Amino acid sequence: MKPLAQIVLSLILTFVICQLAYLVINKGTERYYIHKEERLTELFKNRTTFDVLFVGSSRTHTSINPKIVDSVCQLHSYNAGVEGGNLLEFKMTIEAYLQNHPPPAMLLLTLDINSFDLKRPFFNYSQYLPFVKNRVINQTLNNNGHRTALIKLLPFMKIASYDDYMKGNALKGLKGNNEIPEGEYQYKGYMTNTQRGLKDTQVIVTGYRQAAVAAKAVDYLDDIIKRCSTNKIKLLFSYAPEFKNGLQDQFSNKEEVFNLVDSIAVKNNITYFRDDKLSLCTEPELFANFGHVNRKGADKYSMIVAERLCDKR
Amino acid sequence: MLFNSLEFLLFFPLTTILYFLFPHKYRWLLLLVASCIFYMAFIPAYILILFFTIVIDYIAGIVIENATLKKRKTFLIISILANVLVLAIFKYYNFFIENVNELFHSFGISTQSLPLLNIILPIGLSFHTFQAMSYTIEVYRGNQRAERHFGIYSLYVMFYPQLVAGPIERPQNLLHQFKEKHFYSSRHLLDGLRLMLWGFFKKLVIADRLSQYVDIVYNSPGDFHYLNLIIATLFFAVQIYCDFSGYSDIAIGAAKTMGFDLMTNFNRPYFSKNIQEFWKRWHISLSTWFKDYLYIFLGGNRHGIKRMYLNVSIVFLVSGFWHGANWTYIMWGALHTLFIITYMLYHQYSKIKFPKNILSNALGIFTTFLLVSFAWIFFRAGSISDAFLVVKNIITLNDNTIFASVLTDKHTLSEFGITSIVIGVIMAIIMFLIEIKLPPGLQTLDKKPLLNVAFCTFTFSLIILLGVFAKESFIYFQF
Repeated sequence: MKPLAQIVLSLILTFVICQLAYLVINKGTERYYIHKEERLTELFKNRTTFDVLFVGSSRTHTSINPKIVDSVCQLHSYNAGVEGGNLLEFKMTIEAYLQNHPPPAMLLLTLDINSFDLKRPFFNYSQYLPFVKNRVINQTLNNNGHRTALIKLLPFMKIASYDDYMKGNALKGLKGNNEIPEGEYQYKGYMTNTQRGLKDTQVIVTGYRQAAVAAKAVDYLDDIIKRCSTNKIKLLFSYAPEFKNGLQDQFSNKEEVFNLVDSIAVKNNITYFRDDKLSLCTEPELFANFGHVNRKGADKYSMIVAERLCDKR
Repeated sequence: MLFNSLEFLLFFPLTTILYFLFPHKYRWLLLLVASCIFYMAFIPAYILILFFTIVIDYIAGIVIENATLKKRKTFLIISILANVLVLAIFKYYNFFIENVNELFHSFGISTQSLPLLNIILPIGLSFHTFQAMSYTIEVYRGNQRAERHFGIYSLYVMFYPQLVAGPIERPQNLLHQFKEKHFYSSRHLLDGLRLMLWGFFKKLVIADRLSQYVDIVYNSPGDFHYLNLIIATLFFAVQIYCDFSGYSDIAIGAAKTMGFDLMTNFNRPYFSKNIQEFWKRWHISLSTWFKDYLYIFLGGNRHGIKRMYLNVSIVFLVSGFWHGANWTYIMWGALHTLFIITYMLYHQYSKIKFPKNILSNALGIFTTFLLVSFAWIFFRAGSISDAFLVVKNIITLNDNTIFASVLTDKHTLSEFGITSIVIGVIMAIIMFLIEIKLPPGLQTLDKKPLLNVAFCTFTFSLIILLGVFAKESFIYFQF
């Protein structure tokens, strides 16, 4: 066999193997992330009108139940929290949402200590790949080193965007599991997070890491503020509840981040709710882990959020 | 430009195709422009530093060749000093000043600190400086004619595949190749692409996967259980091999597609039966550089045993310092000095002769790997105190740490899962098994086309399916 024929044959075989593997892995991913896809479809493809949008990381995603908020305040809200999200993802979520939806009346943005860390631009960028028809999503992915054109051309290259965690989840999907464990459910973007409370309540890890505060992230926050102002969206900041400061105490520079958010809030006349100071933060039975409330905690916290939103309307 | 970037995915085929489309007499220009683009993708202004050393050494080469014996030496010293000066300013100045400041402060001599330079180390500076120096030395020794064509000489220093991390070529091997007419050969193309695939496999599938675990542990070594430290150290030994030899494979392969032959840089070093053999197989282009230009210059083994040991020590300490301006690298060099001198003394004086069989070979390989891995602790640690902390916690089997469990620790696993560890280890085993069977250039596959196709398909598929595409830089770029 001539060398050139060997190259061509190797390429063809590789593409066939990868395409087959892609079909299998993709099936697993679709099954595992069926709820995520549903959530992101609502945000980036549908045109429903919502009064309130909750934006933040998993700490938003699992802590604010729109069902409670809607029933208390007679609102139509949606939880747009994304696992591991930072300010780049928050900005992209808001902008991409506004591509199809009318602006909400209110937006509650939950900022974590590490929301300003952009070292890893997307916690899981492949979840956005089915939505690259949304101009904002496409542009943000491309501007942050993820060339979507290659994936459009060779779909199996999508696998290259999956990290081992994603690949592991795809295998779980093939076994019939999905992102939401048995007994849990999703409602309007909110996902329940176990009914169990905290067993080990001892905070042992303190100040062992430094939260990165990227200048670009501060710019993104500024962009969000401007966008809300132009679209007449009432913007509110919050810091989600955590058990006895167990999450923030990991960061040696937490005060620096709090002060930064505080100063931005004051400068732009935005209310900033420090919900780490709520009395529920000392009740271990309301937390799934130090940084996330459980279903009971979410119900209680959602009531607090609802009452606030009623006031702010 | 990183080899593992999308930019390179366009740059490489475009450069290779244009190379064969261009008439022979303009190919040097094409490669020079391509090399400039490749280098300027990092920090464009730093090309001026390269230009400075190129001009100095180009002129020095011609002047040395034309000068009388006495003046030749003077011009060689001037050219070497100019190169060393660039290294001293960009690489070693801050290290030196920091230590002087610390010394002054600790003796209470001065409370004022000498100013540091706010500069980023130019990528691959030590590599191309050493390559440039080898040219003037070879011209001085009469082994190489001075190059009159400025463009071709510049290309010798800047040839993009090996510009930022070697192999550090000798002028006798590379310079003449730029003048030879290379014809397109599908055999060269296949050989080159295959080697590049192998390099990418080592880098993307193994090195970048293991680095995630190594980084977590070595970023705060005091927080981890001793078993985590041992695993991270062993992972780093595999990571650095796959990262650096992967780079060399890609470089040699990329050059091969255009018909250029670069020297072999790694020859299965972790299968060395002793430390001396290890240094004949690891980073061969640097080891031979030090042997040819420093060890022999110092007198080699021509002035007695004691002097030879001294020369060996100097070479290894300088080699450590070459890697970086940090006490960790100097300590790494010192450890290898200790290992190699102990081995040489043992070899010279011991009357115990081990039988040469599989068991003694395996024992030799295992011991050498452990020693080399131990030295890597100093190479990888962020500071000398971190390195000693790792050593102390391993030796004392310290389990009194924040992250007390070994691999199932949720804090570690949240960022680096057990799946990654398993995939990384399996892939590393496959890689070592393949490397036992195949020579460094993988040429034996040429005779078996079907096996060749299977190898390329297997490697390419694994890269796509299991590669970590996080655009991690190559470790040796920082040197």
